[in-house]
Amino acid sequence: PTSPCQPWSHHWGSGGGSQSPASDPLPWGARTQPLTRFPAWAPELSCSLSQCAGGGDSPAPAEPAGGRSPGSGSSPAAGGGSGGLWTGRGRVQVWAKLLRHDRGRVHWVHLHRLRAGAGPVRRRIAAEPLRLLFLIAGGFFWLVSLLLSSLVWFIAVQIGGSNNASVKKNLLIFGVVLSVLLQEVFRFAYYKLLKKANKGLMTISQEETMPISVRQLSYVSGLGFGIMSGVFSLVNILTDSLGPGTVGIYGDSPQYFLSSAFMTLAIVLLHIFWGIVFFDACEKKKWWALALVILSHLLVSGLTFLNPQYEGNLVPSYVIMMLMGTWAFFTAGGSLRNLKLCLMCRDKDFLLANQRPR
Amino acid sequence: MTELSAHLPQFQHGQLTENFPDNHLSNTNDNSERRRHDNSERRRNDNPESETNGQPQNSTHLVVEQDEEDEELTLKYGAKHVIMLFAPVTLCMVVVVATIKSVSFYTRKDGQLIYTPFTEDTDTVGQRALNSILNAAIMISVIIVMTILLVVLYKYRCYKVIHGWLIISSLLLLFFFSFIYLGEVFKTYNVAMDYITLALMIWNFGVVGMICIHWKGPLRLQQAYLIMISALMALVFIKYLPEWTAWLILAVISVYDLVAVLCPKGPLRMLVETAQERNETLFPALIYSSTMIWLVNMAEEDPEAQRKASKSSTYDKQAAANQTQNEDADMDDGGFDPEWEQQRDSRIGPLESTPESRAAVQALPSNSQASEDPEERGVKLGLGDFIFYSVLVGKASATASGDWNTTLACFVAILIGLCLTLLLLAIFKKALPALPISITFGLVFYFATDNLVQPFMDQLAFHQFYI
Repeated sequence: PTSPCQPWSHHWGSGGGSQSPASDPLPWGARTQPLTRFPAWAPELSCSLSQCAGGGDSPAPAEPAGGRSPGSGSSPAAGGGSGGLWTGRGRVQVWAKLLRHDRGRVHWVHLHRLRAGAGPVRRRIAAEPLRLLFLIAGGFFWLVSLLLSSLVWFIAVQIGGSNNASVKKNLLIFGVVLSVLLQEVFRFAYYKLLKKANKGLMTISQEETMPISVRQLSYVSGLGFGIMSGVFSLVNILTDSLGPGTVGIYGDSPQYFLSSAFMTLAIVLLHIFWGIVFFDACEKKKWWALALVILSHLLVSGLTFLNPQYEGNLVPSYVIMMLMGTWAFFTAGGSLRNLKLCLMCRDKDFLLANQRPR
Repeated sequence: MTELSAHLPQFQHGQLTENFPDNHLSNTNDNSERRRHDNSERRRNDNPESETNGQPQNSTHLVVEQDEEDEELTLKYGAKHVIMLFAPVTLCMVVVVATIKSVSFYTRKDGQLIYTPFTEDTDTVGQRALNSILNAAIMISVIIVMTILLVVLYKYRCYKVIHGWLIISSLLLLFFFSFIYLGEVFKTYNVAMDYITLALMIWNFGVVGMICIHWKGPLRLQQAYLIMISALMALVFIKYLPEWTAWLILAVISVYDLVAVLCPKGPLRMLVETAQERNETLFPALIYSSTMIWLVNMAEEDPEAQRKASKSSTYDKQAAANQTQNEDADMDDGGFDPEWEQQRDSRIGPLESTPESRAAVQALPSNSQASEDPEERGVKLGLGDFIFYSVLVGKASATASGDWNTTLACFVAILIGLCLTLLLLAIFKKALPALPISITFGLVFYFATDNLVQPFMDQLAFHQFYI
């Protein structure tokens, strides 16, 4: 028998809190009067409040049940209790409103307690800062991969030794290929680390749902890789573009800055898409998808060898980017129907999760 | 309660500790009992006094010796705390890097500090290395001596001397260094300024800063001032420390930090322990803290009613006692005056606050505890950490050939180091040095990026290859 106050994702619509709170993990209120009149969509509300009621000596615990039932029965509270995925914050607000409508005795006292300590809602490690953290860590991993690949390239150049331009160029091409492969290896390593970290966070918080889903992780890690890659490619060029100078004075292309900017944009977006597809492939053990991601990365990098022939480079790169984008979209659970709903602002799940009217 | 008030204090050379709110709620017995119970295995090293909290357990029904891990479910320092520290560290670094890039004064060589007497403009590399090693040695010994002096003064309770010292140094930073900074900024942007306006600005800036840092002020303002003085100090170091000396000093000071905080006889550890024994906070001028300390008081029983009750019970035992108890219940309105009660009644319906209900509410786990769940507990970081992180990143941006690449690499490395340090803090729950991991990562990434990655990226950019 599960405790009534489990994370709400498991208890969605599973009936009122009439289970005995003996195994209840909420720490206050050893004795309770389980309230059975709570709407089915708020089982934790019932158990939490019953815990609260049981905690006090004075206002007789029977009273809340009696005093509250009209309130609870008649005020199905904001947001309508039906379906959809509620964020934790949404639930908390609902509870607060419900309590405010109620004239019950004890509740105003317990209100903040409920809000603050309300079980599963507050127990979630906040996803927002976690995402930022994983973003920066993703950037760090990309950086480490770049470091290793440039170390190898540097050693190769020292060994290779000659001042021959074509030898240098070949070594550079070798460096690029190595760097791409190392990036993908580090993406895989990051995936493994994230899985382990998620598991660790879950066990510490004793929750059954992960604080951050793999999909979000894949997006965040792809973004981390993309941001670092883009920044490293572009920032020095940007600072040079401020200074005095003439582009292409020695016969190079005058569109240097523009093409660099476009290419960097493509690479950043591609990293995001690669991240999504990669993690999904790792989750579902689709090794062909993995190989395809690596191949497409190599292809895009290889196309840049055609520079300064920008048509040969930019156009196919953008085409590949669109293809990867649609692949990532469908991998992440998108569909044409979702897209339509989203664009017309009618996506119910999204709206409920963000507490917005239709 | 002692476990709530005896938070681990801090010192400037970068310890990272927790910040328990000072909770003076008089009867948080239950709460402290509970927290002690569930935290006992977690807070092994922390507060020995917490176990000896001799307050009797208050009325029973609230104390549930259940599995309280649910209350403290989150990692003690979740991602939120990491971000709470990332923001000020990032801000300080941004200020330093922005200044270095725009104001050329701080990259110009205008001599050296007296703490680093040996010059680095020598003929041979060997001589330069030797000079820088000597410089670093002198600087570190100065720092060690000053730290030991501080610990000795603290131990022998010469608080006045310490406060005077801190006030003089913050006066110097807030007035003199900011005056120089402002002057240089005006020179860079060719802004004409008269002395009277300047005096007014500096005076206001300085006085408000002194008040905020040493006394009371809005939290954000205090944090902003601490960031500003860290940035100013870091800029001074960047300007007056020659290159090799700076890197060596960074390396040696992180080793020193490690030793001083973790070794049993280390000065910083002794400082922390002494402060802990005396149940005091350390100097606010040296520590950046991310939350305010909450002081909560709840209305207690009217002491007169209590006296009356006890008086009457001594006179006339049974009936009279009952009677007077009822009377007392009527007379003791718990501190709520009639107008307030009327208002309340009109707003949320008739409520009655009897002594029993008030006792029950007071016996509840405290409000401040409830409204301040583990995620809202603050984290503290010493200002010395801010300073040395910013010195590293500033030096990287000033002297690196890779310029922005190197700066960014160092920045990310320092943040990741800070994150790892916080993770260790969450695991070990005692004062930890915040410098070693971050500075090590920063140094490794500085030299690696500058010497290995930069040529690679350069070549790639030249051919317009993308990886």
